[in-house]
Amino acid sequence: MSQATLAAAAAFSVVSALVYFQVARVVAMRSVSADASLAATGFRLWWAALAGSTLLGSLDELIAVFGEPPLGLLIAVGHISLALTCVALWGLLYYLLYLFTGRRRLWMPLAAFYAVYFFVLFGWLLGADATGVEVGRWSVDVSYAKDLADSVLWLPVLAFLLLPQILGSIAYFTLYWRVEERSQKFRVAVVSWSIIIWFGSAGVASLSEFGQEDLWQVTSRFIGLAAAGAILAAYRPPALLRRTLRVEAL
Amino acid sequence: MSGKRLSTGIKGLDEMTHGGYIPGDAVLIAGSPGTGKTTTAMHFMAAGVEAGEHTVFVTFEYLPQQIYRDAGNRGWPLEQWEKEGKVKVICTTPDVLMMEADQGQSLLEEAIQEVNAKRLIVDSMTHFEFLGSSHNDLRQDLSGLMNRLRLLDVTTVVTHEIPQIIGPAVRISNWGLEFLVDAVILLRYVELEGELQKAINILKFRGSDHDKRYRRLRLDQGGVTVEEEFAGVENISGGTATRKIAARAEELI
Repeated sequence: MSQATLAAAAAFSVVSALVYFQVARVVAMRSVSADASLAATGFRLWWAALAGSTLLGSLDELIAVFGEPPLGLLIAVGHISLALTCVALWGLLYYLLYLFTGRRRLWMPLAAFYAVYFFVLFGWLLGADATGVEVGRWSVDVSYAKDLADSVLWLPVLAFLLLPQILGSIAYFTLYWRVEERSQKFRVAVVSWSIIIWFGSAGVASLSEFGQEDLWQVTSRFIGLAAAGAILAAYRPPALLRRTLRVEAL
Repeated sequence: MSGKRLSTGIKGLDEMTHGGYIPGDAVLIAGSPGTGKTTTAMHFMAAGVEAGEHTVFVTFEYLPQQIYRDAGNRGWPLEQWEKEGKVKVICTTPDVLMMEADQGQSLLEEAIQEVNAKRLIVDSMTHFEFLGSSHNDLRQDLSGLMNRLRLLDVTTVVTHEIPQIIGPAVRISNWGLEFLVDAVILLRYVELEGELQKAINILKFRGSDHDKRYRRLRLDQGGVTVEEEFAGVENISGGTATRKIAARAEELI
């Protein structure tokens, strides 16, 4: 039974990753001024790194369909995924900070912060002493000698992983009233609320017991995929949406 | 007051001032080094030659040869104009100018009468700060000079250097020169998109409405050009301008 759910989880992850890659490709097509180019790159990196991280997660799930993945592989994938997550968060936050402040130089302190964050997490995971692989119904995880949730770092780590997207998306949504073009208003609304619902629901679930339920596992993957699809549609709206809402593709 | 205006010699600045300088007024062009203060003043002189009005050009900074060369590089045959009696160049020092002013008919007033000048350029007022007078005395003396020039119906353009290259705070002068004149035009540097660009803004223009926006200033071989406003940009007065959030959102969303 877990093989079927793991396969389904992997399929969700692969499809989601492909959608994120497509979003990265679409936003890369936009030409911007030299001043905004790093911010535009940051936004592309957010989607591309998210895609990469999601794809790596699907690798674990796919291997687990056929047998227990090696611990070393799982740890390596986890570390790479962690690095990609930090790159993604840097990209998203720099994009948002540049949008709101216009200060290009903020990339440096932000990069320094996420470099430190990565090494703190890396050290934390190393220190937690990985002991084996836990193949669950929906995911494959590394088991540690020390319970990560007992650590004082648990909440700050979770906060810095989830809060930037949620708070950033709320701030992003305020741009709805600052842009004038209808298509831009549409993009702002869809992108910001997709991310808020997606990461917000994940955050709530991770803090509750409900997070382990099968129903939530299925629901969360559909939420993630729907959010990814909605975001892609924000940049490449289908014909029906273009006609009904009078919006244009990027 | 009649509606007559005197062209500044710069099309964009004429637009900003809604026609040019008001005859008889004293105009201060203040700015950081290299922003084009002297050249802006020279445009007024050149416009005067074109309009049949003569100019006295007082410089405390340059020798006549330098002035002729710089003007010549911009296409203004200043030496020729001087020979034709259209312009009078005076190279002197502020203390000589002020000393002679105290003695009745001064060098300045003689020069104005000699070429029947209706325009006066003084480049630059910064040198008066080195006279050693107290700020009050300096202000009083120059106020008297400005009033005499007004009585002579001479439109005066003075330049003044602001030592600050870039940054939020701008102090025009230490002794209130900006309060003695009728108009203040500010030339400054602003960092935008990694480049040091020049901006022009009218801080004060007594007796008339004016464009209150910052506009781009270009200084090249042809002189000074006042270009379009800095659209979609904010914090120019802070020295490091950023494009407005709406402009950034327009581009990135």
